Parts: sequence; C-alpha cells; structure tokens
Amino acid sequence: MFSRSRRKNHPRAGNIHTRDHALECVPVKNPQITEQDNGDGELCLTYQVRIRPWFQNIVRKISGRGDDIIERRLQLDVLGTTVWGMIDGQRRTREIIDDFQSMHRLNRREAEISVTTFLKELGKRGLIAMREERN
Amino acid sequence: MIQGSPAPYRQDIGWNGLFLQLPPSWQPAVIYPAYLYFEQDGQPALEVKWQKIHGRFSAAKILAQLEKSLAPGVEQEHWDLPEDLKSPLASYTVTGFQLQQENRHSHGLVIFCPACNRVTLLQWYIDTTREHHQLAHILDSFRDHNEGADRLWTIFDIRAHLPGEAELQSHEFLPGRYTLCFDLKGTAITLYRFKPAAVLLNRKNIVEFGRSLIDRQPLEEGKDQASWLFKAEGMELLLAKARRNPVFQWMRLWHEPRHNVILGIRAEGKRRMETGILDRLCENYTSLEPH
Repeated sequence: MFSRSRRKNHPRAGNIHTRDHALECVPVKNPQITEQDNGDGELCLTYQVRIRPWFQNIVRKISGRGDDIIERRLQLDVLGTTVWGMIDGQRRTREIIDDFQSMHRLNRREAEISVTTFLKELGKRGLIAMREERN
Repeated sequence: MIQGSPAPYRQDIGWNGLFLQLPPSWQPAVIYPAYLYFEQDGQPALEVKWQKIHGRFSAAKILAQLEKSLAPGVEQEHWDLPEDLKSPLASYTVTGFQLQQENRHSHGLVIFCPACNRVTLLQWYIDTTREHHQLAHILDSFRDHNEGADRLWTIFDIRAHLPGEAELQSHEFLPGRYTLCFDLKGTAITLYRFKPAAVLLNRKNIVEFGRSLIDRQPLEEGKDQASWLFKAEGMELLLAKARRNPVFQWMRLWHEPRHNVILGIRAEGKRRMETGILDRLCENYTSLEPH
C-alpha cells in the first residue's frame, strides 16, 4: 500500500551541498554585454556569440560575412529586468532571491525557482558567470 | 485545541482532507494528491502519504510493505511514540517506526482513523527529542477528515473552502501561476492564483489579463475585478452539445493589491450552475501573507 517508490524529480538529500553552494555564489555580468532600455522598464541585452565551425560556412554563404562572431539579443521582461538589475557582482544568489521575494511578495520556493531558473538561462548564454565566495 | 501559549506562527496545510500546522520555514517541495513532502532549507523535514483503505486495517502489513520497499542499507525498526505525544492522537490507531541510515535518521507513524477509514503515513526527519515541542504541535494539529461539509485547501499562500464533494483533478504550482482543478458534480472548477500582480497588470487591466484565460466578453468589469458568464442558448446550445463543448462558462478574477496577487475561479460544464454557489466559492478563496 505505502510502497516508497521514488518518483521522478523527487528532491534528494544528496543535493543539499550543491544547492547551498550554488546559493552562496555571486553572479557576475559579462562586461561585453550592452544593455538597452526600451522605456517600459524592460531591458534588451545584446551579446556576441562565436559560431561553431560547422555553422560558419552556412552563415558566410547567407550573410556574406567572413567573421565567426554574430550578435544576439535577449529581450528581458519586467521580472527579468529586475533580477538583472540586482546582479551587481556583490550580491550572492541567496541575497538576490531574498530581495526578489520581498519585492514581489512571493513565497520562498517560488522566488528561488524563478531566480535560479533565470540565472541558469543567463549562464547558458554566457551572459553571467558564477563566482565562488570564499569565507 | 492546541495547547501552550504564546503559540509561534504556524502555516496551515490543508490538502485533500489532510490538515496540519507546520513551522513556516517548512516548504512544500513535492505535492501529489495524496502525498506531501516538506523541506527546510533544502533538507527533508516531513513526508505525509495517505490512502483510504478497503477491508481490515493492519499496521503490521503496512510496515512489512514499507520495509520491503526500502533502499539497501536502510533499517526499519519499531518505535514507541512518547506517552505525552499519544494523547492528541487518542482517537486514532497509531503505530510508530524508525528508519536508520548511515547519516540519516527518521521517525514515523502509521495512523489509522476508524472514522474515515484512512491510513496516513507520517514521517519526519527532525530530532524527536530536541524538537519535541515542534513535533507535539504538529501531531496535535493533525486531522485527516473534515467535520463540516466543506473541505479546506490551503498550501503556500492560498486558502479555499470547497464543498467536500469537490475532487481534485489536477494541480500545478509554477512560479507565478498556481492552478488547481476540481470536479464538482460534473462541473470543472478551477482556482487560479497569479503573482506578482503589479507586474502582470503593468500594461493591461484585469479584463485584458483575463482574455488569456477565457475568450468571451466580460459580464462585469471594475478596477480590481471582472467576471465573465456564458450560457449557451438556442442554436448555440445544440451546437455546444453536439461538439461536446461546455454549455456554461463562468469566471471571476480579482486583484488583491495588499498581497500583490490576482485570484480567480472558473467554472465550466455541460450543465448550468447556480452563480450563487460560485459567489460563495469566491468569498471562501483568499490569499495569505507569503512565508
């Protein structure tokens, strides 16, 4: 009746060090990014990415450009812009979550998932890096 | 009901007939219709699983099943609930157990309620001796069925009283959007909770926001509230029935600036429903201060 089948995505206690460790890291912005305010409280980030070699030929044929760097844009919504603004190279992820939670009156878990998912997305695109803080 | 004062602030958990009062730092991490898992600072704090039983209750049988399903290296032993913790659970049949692993230790109870024929497996990871007061309060607050006709649903920052017949069909707790779907005598009732309202209503009013949920003209609209009603009639009724579409749709959304939240209830079905019942549902659906 009460078999303890572990379901997919069930949090495990083993993740605790990784999670705690991640929350103590400080997100740092990539200095090569340019920010553009669209006037509605939303930012558009422009960043450069190096194209993979096997894409390079295709891009060269289509665009006629010879370089292997292209420009990408990321439009942030109001919430994304808020979190982006909190990344100052000083605040830890945990502190950003705290501020985001109180600013929007969210519950802890909701704020944590929103902020960490967003930071993960920024990290994947190379817009931020995570710096370990040594105590 | 709950002894001791001054009582520290607790969060109420009301889910599918189960009721518990827990420390606010215990956050629901896994939510299923008959299973809840809470964490405190990312570490396991409490697990609850429950089920109605058919036939005779046997704690030994349940514990044997539990033992069989344990991971290698985990040992299950009998555990006696301390005398002073027994009194709040006097109306239940209670059997204690403990699980021992290399670096983790937990205690649990198999609780059988003869009144509703429900068995609950409660397992906590806090230190039973050190957190005795905490545990006493949790056990004291434990209820596995409602005395009245309505059932309390409260988790995170929402609280609703729904008729006992409302059966949970699905639920989703996404950041910014909670959705709970129920079946109430053939009518689909959906509870919504959207946050942060200040951002969501930044460039649109509540009617425009509601358009993403219902494709109808609003019946009433105000600054912080809007409602929609659709009743198929004549040809439309025949068509809706032929296409197996709902013949009745009703929705209300309201904005609570104090909690920065938009709440909403939607009902739809193949039969018309009294809007008075829906008004009562709305009155009994509120948002709470987040913790």
